[in-house]
Amino acid sequence: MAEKQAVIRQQDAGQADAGVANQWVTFSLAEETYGIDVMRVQEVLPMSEIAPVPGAPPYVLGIINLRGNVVTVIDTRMRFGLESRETDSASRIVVIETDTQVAGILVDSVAEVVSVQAEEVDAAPNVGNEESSRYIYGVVSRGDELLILVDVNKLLTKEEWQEVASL
Amino acid sequence: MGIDTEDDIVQDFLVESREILDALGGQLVELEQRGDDRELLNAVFRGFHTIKGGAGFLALDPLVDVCHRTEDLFNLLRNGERQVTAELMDHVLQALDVVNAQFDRLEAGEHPEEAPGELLRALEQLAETGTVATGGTVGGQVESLAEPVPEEAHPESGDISDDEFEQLLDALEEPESRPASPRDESADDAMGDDEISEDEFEAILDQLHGKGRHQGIPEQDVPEPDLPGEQASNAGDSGDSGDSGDAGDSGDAGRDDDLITEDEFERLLDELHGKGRGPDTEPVGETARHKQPVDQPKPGKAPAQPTESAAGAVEDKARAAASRTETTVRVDTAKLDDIMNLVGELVLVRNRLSTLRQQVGDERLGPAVGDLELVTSDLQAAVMQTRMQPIKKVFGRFPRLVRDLARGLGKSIELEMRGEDTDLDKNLVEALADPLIHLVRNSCDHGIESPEERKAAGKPATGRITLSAEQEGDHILLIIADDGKGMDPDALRRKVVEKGLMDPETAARLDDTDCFNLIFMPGFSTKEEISDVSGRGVGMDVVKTRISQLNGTVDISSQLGVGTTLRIKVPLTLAILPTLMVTLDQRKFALPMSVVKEIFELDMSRTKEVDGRRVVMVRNKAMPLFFLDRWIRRINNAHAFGEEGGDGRPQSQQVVTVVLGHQPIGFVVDEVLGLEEVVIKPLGAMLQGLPGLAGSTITGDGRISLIIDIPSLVKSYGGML
Repeated sequence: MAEKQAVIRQQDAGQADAGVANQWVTFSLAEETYGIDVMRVQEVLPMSEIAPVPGAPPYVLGIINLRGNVVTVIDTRMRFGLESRETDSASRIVVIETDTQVAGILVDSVAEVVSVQAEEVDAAPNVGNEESSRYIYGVVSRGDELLILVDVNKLLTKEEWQEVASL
Repeated sequence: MGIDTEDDIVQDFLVESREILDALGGQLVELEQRGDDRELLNAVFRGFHTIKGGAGFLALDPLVDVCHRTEDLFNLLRNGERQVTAELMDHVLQALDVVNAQFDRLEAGEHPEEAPGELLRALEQLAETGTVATGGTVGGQVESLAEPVPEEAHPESGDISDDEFEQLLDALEEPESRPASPRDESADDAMGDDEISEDEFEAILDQLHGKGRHQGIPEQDVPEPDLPGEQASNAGDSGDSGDSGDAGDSGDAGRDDDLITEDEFERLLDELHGKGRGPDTEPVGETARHKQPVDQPKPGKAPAQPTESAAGAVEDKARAAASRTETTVRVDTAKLDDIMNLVGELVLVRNRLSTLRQQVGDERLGPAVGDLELVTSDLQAAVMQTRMQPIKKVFGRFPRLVRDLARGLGKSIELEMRGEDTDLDKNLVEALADPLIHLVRNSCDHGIESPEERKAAGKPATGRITLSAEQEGDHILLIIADDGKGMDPDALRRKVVEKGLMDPETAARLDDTDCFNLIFMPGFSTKEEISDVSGRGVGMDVVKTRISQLNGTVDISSQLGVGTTLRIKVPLTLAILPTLMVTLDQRKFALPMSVVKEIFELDMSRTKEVDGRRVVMVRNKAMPLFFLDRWIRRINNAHAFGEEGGDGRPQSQQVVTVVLGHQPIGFVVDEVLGLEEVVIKPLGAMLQGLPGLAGSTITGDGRISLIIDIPSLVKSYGGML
């Protein structure tokens, strides 16, 4: 995984000066690399105790105490239709903010921040499972590596979640 | 033409005017009882005057019209030229309603409607002819004194007369001459001279300089006016209100270098704004601009000039208000909440440090942590204090409400209010308004009898409603008591059966207190016919619900023929909730203390299965049990709480008795930890509205506990557990 990140970083460095670039925080989930717009990321937390909430939708893991504010943490693996797994020392909670709310997403690990040129972004290919493609903004392929850019607003929309929950 | 309600200036005007109108409602009713209270008359006059000033600035002519006429009327009243009569009060109250309605429209972004012509005419007539001729005591003197006041302070319909405009222009053109203008005018008035000499100017500055508390000025040898009472109160006003300081200030400023600096000019203008509502430096805030300068040196020479002092009493008060606004800031409550949050975090850090201190055992740490503890507690209290408001804000509406109701119902009711200065959380003040209004209406409508009935029952014809507020520990106790006919428990029993809300046996078993509580049942209204005032059966249960939402309780006691007393208990603040911390599946949960009645150990041998539901016998009554751990397991998802197959129940469990409506329910928990005051943290958008949860909180050890909302829990899951 570290190698993969390194490849992306090198390519990134090579293209830094061309066109409009956005910065994306990359994280991994089940061996895939995803990116979130850096402007949406409030902070990255180490795994901490998540208090479960009875009656919460299945995609909600629970809530955490973020310096006095209660933040909902969602299960990103479930979101993307992946098998859930035990958290480990690399697990992170990425606190993201959308226009309407702040929430945490649990990911396998967080790697780095990369710059992506606007023209590098391709529309999401119709591959992979349907659940995840619904929240994908686009993909960036560099060599044989694929960076999947996530649309945070869609990721946290309650209606979307309700659909998922009812599946 | 609409009006931009987003505009800060308009906003300020609306907010301030609303406050004034609220106060006016109470003052006018008070005035009916004490029509000769000069203080009160002045206050009312000032209220209308201030609104008129602002309305004039915003070119809201319909508002100006009404306020102007009402103000004129009160000007005559406070000068003793007219007496307060019932007829007059009716019209003035009507005018107040019109103004209120106009503000409703304004707030909706519409242009206010013209006041009804007949009302305006009536107000004018009252001012012109009145029902009572000029008061004897002050006589001609007042006549002449009163004359200039309306001219100066209240130009017709908010327009500026040429003279005034000239003066304003002057003032604008040469800001440096600002300080001269007050002197100009007052000297003018005082000495009948057009110019003020350098010497006089100096003398005035000297008086002002650093000692605003002067009452009399030797040089000003104008004869004392024939209004000693007025003077005294006026002088008192200026002394008390703290403007003397201001005057001293401006005196200072002027003295340093005969010229006023830009800054000082700014400050002067600022002072003027507060009062006259003229929000920027345009000359339109005519009343402020105009009168204010006159007042500036006023405390020093208040007694010097009769006309001025007559108006002065008003202006001084207004200025007192103005200088008060300078020391206050309007803050969005959301910001205060943020601060509260941070303070809460600080408390947690402090707690951690305290634990560390014990572990480390370094004695140097002790005093520092001790200080931190002290400061944190003080800080917490101080932040809480910023959210507090006197309950007067709600109580203020009641005199008018009761008066109108009494008139409408043909009853005679006296309202007594106590403890209006009791402070409570701002949100709470707002949330209590509707329930209280409803209860007071009920007392007027259902409680107090008609004068004839009262006389027949050997009571004074005038009914009495007492409204009181007091702090009781961490609660506020609100009492609404009337000396009306009281409630008949038997009638209530019959009623509830008639309405099909309860079967006769159950009703017969109710004790009297239970019966009184029936009025809080949905769909229960005892009044034979529905009146406008109250009694569609939707009221009381809503009141009860609203108060429960505030974590409060309502108690009712009544004695037939003697009266009814409602006691409402609400917490001091909504931000902090006293809870009972319990554990379930090794997790901490918080139950709001307000609903908890008792706690006892669960003895399974005393439980029975009834209709598929476990009940426990308490004092020979069966009480249904609600196993909270089952709730958690049943509705929980696989990934959350551990799956113990329901058998991991600890050896001993506790039952927390909660009374919901009339029905006690036993909540079975693993362990009761004790009382903890918690700060409520709302759940995020995705978790909003989950049944059974009122929010979450962060406990002393930094972990999260969920706060259980018992009514909604029982409603949603009561059947399945």
